[in-house]
Amino acid sequence: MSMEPRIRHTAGEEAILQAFSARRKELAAYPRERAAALDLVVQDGLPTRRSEAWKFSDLRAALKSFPEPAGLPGAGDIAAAKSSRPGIDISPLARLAFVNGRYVPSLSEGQLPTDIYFRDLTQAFERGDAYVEAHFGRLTAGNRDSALALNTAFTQGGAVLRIAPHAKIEAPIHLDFRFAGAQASVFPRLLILVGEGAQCTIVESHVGPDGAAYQSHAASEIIVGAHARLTHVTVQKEGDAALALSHGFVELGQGSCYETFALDEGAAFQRRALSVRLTGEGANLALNGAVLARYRQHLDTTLQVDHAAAGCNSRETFKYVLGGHAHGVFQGKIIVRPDAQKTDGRMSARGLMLGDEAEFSAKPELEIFADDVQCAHGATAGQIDEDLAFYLRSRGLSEADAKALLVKAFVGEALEAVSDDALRGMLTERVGAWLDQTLADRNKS
Amino acid sequence: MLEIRNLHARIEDKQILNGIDLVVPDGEVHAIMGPNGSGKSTLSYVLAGREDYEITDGDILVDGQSILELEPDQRATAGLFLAFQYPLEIPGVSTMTFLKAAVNAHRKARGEDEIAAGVFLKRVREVAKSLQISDEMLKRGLNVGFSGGEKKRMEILQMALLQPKLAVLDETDSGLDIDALRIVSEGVNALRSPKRSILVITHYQRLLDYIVPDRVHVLTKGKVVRSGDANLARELEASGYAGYGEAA
Ligand SMILES: Nc1ncnc2c1ncn2[C@@H]1O[C@H](COP(=O)(O)OP(=O)(O)O)[C@@H](O)[C@H]1O
Ligand SMILES: [Mg+2]
Repeated sequence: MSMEPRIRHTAGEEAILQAFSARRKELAAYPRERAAALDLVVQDGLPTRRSEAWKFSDLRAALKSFPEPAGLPGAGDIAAAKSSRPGIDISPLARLAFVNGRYVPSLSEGQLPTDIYFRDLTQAFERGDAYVEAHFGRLTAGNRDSALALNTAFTQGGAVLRIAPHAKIEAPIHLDFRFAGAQASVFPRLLILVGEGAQCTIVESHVGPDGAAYQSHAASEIIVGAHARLTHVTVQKEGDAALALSHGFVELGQGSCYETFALDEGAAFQRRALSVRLTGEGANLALNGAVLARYRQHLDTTLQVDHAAAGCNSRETFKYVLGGHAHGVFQGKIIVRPDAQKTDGRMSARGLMLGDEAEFSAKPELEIFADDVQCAHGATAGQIDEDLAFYLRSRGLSEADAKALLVKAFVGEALEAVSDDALRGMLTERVGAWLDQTLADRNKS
Repeated sequence: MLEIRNLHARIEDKQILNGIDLVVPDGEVHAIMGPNGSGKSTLSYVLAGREDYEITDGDILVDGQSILELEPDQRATAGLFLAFQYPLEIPGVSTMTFLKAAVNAHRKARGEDEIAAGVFLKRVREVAKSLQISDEMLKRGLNVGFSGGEKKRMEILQMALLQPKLAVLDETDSGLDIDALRIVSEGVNALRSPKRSILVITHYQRLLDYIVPDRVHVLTKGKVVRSGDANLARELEASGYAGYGEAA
């Protein structure tokens, strides 16, 4: 805060700075990180299209106001959250519920085994948890992104989840994030440490009520230890007036395996930024997702896959189904550092346009500094193939059923990467429900 | 019964069918033979209701009712089946899912409930076995990675499951080796029935040794120029299409 701003602040930026001043006392944890984060907001303001990583999503223009940060959820919020639906249907080992970014034990279910350590992140920090001290902010550090800084500046609560080395956790752990209220800003934060040789599955869902102009500024840091295996599925179904930003940072150790799938279908304006650094030799990354957008939704996925060690594999497949006046954005960059010989990296993004008014912007990039590598990327957009639709209709399927089947097949190609049958089934059902509603809406109009 | 009356059709500015007249009574198998580009596939697509084609004159009747106003799926559920010359690949839709969707669409049109999973599976396995289609193929994406012959057998499998009143087979013999040709022909012959009309489109006479037609029609330049019995096919085999204003 010592430095002078280089820009004139917008009303949204002013509101952010005021909200921070008003809460300075409560925001006592992570003093260094918060101070640096706020400095960044003061100096840079929010990101605009001038920043490469925000090329298609002008946050400075989109964030016209900044609702008051939510406090601890009250009884009313908890009751409202309880009556909402988590948006996914799985049988987890434990469901850990969060309302407005704070862990709420009374809404949670199930018992965690002793090889899983789970705490409120801010409390763990305040009690001097050595893991939190060592790792909080380690992966986010050095990112000059004022949108990420918003989370760091304001976050309270959140969670630290640590899987003990060599633990084999079969059933998924569900991190169930719900928004309750009308207008507020929330700052979910996760620190996940998967110990050496451990295996586990985490399912994260984010839901909120339609019609509420709330903002979610989420961030997570995930460290996957050597030879560990993490499966991580995220479902984003925020309310239809919400602004949802998330920043994920993942570090993959030697021989580790990270399989992740993101299904994004909610929010008016969303940007999912995910940055994975493969730092140990022979790490494997499968990063896939589906984006389903309609009306005037703006849903952005921006990926960075950073191969910093030799002999790693990465595969990214993203499918966008875009109806109405929706705008889907895919930005993906594969970086191969000089030492990352024998890298095998492939990235692809495909858009399926349900109408003429929808828009798909894709920018895949490669930055390769090693010579013995195999990398490929591609992005395409198209409409439903009329020849295929005719073939299906010639077998008796109605036009709507034929098209629904083809869209499901399109998304299904990305879902094939989800190796867990139950999770793939849950995601397939969600896609089906979205599609049935979208096609029904289309037939009504 | 299929009746085609004075059928004219074009795509964009190109007139392709120039007045086809043809009647296939119930229980009969008719063959249409003709050189490449004579309009055989166009006729099959027009029958199935593909939207790119414009019918400029004439009519198509099934059991005395015009089907021109029907959508492709309505024609299918009314009993018309087209075995495609080039069956399409649909990655991400398993063959079983597709077959079930097709069977259930037909049942829905008849006001019946969806087929029971066990009954369906048994029926598919039975027909698949007779066509030498493996379980593994049924699990794959529809036609994905199938050879030409496998795709053609899959078309006949669909026809057997859907039990159409009127089947049009567009060059189902092309790309088949002799064993596959026999399997496919046996599949088609098994479906011959007094209530079913079958129109077999082919470039070569060979198929007609296995599926012996009641009538043979020669199509050139979008018109039927000659009709006769099964012997006409043999005659064509010897003479080629040269006598019909076409290169052999
Ligand atoms: N989509 C199309 N656009 C333009 N011309 C076409 C199209 N489809 C077929 N044709 C033309 O119509 C004629 C008949 O084609 P087709 O019906 O495929 O013949 P056949 O099946 O007898 O070989 C050919 O000259 C072909 O080039
Ligand atoms: Mg043809």
